[in-house]
Amino acid sequence: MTSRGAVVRNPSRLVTIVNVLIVVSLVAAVGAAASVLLTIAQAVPTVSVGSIGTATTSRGAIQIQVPITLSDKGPLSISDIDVQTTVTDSSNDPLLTGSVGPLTVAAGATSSLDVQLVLDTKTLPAALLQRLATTSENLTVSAVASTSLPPFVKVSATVSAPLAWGAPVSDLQMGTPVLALLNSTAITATVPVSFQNQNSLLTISGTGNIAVFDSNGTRVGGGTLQVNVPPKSSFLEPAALVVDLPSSQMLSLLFTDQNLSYRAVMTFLSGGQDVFSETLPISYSWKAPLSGLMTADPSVVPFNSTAVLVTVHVAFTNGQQFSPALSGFVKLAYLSQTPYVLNLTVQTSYGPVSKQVVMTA
Amino acid sequence: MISGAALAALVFLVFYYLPVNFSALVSGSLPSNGAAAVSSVAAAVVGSTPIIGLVLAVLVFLGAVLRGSRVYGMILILVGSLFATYTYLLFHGGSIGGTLPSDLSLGASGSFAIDASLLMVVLLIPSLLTVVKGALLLAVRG
Repeated sequence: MTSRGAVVRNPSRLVTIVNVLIVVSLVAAVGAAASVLLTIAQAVPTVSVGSIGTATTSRGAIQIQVPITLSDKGPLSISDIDVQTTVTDSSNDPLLTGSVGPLTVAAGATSSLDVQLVLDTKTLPAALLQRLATTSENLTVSAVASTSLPPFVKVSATVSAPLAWGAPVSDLQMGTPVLALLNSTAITATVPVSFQNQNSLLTISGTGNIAVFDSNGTRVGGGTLQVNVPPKSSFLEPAALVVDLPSSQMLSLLFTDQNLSYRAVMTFLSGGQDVFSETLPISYSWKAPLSGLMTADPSVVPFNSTAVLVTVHVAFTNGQQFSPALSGFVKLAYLSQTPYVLNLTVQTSYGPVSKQVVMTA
Repeated sequence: MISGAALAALVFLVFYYLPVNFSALVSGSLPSNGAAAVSSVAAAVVGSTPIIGLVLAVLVFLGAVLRGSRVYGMILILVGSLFATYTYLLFHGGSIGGTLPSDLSLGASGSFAIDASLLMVVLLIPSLLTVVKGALLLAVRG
């Protein structure tokens, strides 16, 4: 009470006290401002983004990792660093999400943040995955970042940028198959498969399954294709397929050239789920092994007193390049006065083929 | 007189010259995109506030010259008030917001928000105390 009264009675002393307060507050203000400015000025130039990496988890999710390094050389710690990242497509549907934080970089320390963007193939619609796999489009990357320099400053920012998404499986093509005989009921078809990985981030790696269907939609064969395509590169490898020959049409296939049409459905799996499926036509001009089989008019001449010699010219074209040489024999199956009935048997790769030839002579 | 001129020059440098030329001063040490962003943000934040810095420099010089006179208290009140106004305007009331320039790298754009209320309050205290001191001097000499 006494000292307060002395101050009031002596205004110059009050001024002195205010002067002291001004100096103290000025030092505190300059110190606070300088600390903030120094921390920002020395930290911002150290922010660096490392090389972007990708990985696929066991669940099939594709992770895109963006490493960010930050050094805090200022007097204040950088706290509550939080980055939420979202990648959306042209319809504004979220495709990838990622977050990091909250993290704190102590004064004088260096820290690395790994912003992970996760493309979860299990949660995205199949049609969207299919479109992303085969179509290049412009995506949008949005990031919401916040941090603070406690206790003085809190900063938040929202940034969006276009991201050119290149189709990982672009211009998928299957070439003309090269057939080879596997056994009497199946052939192998070596089909050149090509596509371009136009994506600048993703490596397409894994096993592609190829299923072959006939015109009725029945699965008649298939095969697998090992794929490892780095970003921005092309793929061209042969796929070995095993295709069953249509048993119901076998007789026709042996004698008649035909155009065989199939559908090849190629799928890529990730985490046990189809992430991409493409249907491509495969056609092959089948050349019959006994094409144009015909017999000329037989000649029958006496052989001895009890038999006649029947001579018949048999003609056909083995159009198959991959079949081994054909062999066969002709057996007189039935003989009457007329007509003569011959059984023509040819041993082919697909088993013995018999045809009855009726002759009048 | 000399100390007054030096103080006024310091005020001119810190509260007018540096804010007005901030972009040009930092652009040399930043990449072009970063410099453009900093320049754009600085222009949005600073605005026309540095004009007050010019008036402050003059008043600080006058205060040094007229120290001890009858009007010194009034000058202190003006200086304190203008410093407080300058601080308040520079900090946009404590919450600074704006849009990032559209010419950021890779076509990025966005917005930012800075909550610097506490720092603003800390910086306002000396100004407000200067006003109090001016008022006390006026009261004493009145």
